[in-house]
Amino acid sequence: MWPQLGQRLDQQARATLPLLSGLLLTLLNVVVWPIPFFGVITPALSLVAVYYWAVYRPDLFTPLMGFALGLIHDSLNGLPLGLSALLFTAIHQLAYAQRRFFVGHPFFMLWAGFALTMVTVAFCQWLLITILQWQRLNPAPIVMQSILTITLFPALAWLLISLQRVVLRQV
Amino acid sequence: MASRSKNLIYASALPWRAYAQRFSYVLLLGVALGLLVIGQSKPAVMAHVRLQVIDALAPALDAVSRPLELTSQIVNSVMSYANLRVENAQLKAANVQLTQWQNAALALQQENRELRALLNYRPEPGLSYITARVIADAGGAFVRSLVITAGKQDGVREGMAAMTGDGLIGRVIEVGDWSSRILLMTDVNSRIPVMLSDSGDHAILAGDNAPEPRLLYLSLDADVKLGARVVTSGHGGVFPPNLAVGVVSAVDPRAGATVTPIAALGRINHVRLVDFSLKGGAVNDFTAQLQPASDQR
Repeated sequence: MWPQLGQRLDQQARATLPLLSGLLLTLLNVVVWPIPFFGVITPALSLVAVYYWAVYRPDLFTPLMGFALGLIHDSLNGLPLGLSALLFTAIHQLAYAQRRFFVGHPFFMLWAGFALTMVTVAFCQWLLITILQWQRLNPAPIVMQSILTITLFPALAWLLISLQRVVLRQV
Repeated sequence: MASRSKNLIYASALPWRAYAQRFSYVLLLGVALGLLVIGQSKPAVMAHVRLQVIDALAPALDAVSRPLELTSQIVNSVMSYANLRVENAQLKAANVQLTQWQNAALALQQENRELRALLNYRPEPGLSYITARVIADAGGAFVRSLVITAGKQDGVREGMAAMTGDGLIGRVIEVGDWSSRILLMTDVNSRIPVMLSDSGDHAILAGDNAPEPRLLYLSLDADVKLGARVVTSGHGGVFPPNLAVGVVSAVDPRAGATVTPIAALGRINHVRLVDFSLKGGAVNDFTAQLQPASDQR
């Protein structure tokens, strides 16, 4: 009985990887990096996590988890509460709906899909904040942030793929 | 047979799963929209919720930020080793100059004290400081704010001025039990009453998310010169007067003047919160500024 229980606990612990990696990336998104003005154009790391896990392990990374990560992201960044929750849930839905298309195709398609999602999300975010704060905001930082995130996507995805291979092989 | 019936059960359950999934998306999107709407009418409630989340995550943020800070320190120390000779020469020159300034300041302070005694002058409230570590350089592309490791338990109050060693960076806007949020002066919602220290002209320093905030409501005959020092005016009673803010970097008759902050806002690891409480001492007493921070965290 004990070995079985141990195995189950191990499986359960492994199954939290998508959520934990998402949380870690959300925290890394806001900590002070040793690069000047990086805070202004930090790549949207949590968004990469939501997109990746919604495509590859939607069973372990549910829409509710995306929503919760969004709320944490809003709280840490001082954004209107619900903004990132709305966008992360929408990204989850988009990625989940397209996942069959991505799974059988080369990595480039996943990257292109992410680039499209990132651009849409950046525009929506800019538009929503402009409406909520009722003032026109400079779009330059979000454009920079989007470019940086899209450029870094392969590296981050490689990291998540490796994690998935090591930790989630049998989960 | 058993497996066939099992497959049938799965097959019949699949559409329900799809429906449940779709319903959960609609529900979550609805809740998020609801939160946004409530946040517009009751911003204080949402600020409280945000602070609770930050307070809960502060230890994790602290743990994550430590290795990065260590890396930054190592990089800095390696760089400073490389520049040791040049830096040493510069520091020696600066030290000679500062010693002269110190002598002048001590003489002026003594004279000031005597004149105040003659005039029976009531000193302005003194300053004390709370020092805290920055654990989040938050906001990304739309908000300029920092989260620090000091809250109500450390005596932080809303509205306190936040500084680095060089000058003002912004003010405290939200205070949790263990952490608080500072709105930087470059944020689009930041408005700080300032004055030009040479001419005494008053203005409001307004951020617009660009690296250099603008001077608003300058009087028409104001004499704004490039390189003029900008300090807090103390109007409104929120900030103490005469905290260094920046220097005028550009003057345009149509667009107005912009100010380069003295503090390097792009890379802040520690901040000092200025407690403008009603204690004895004088604001202009420069020795008060040299006192060590009251609480090093």
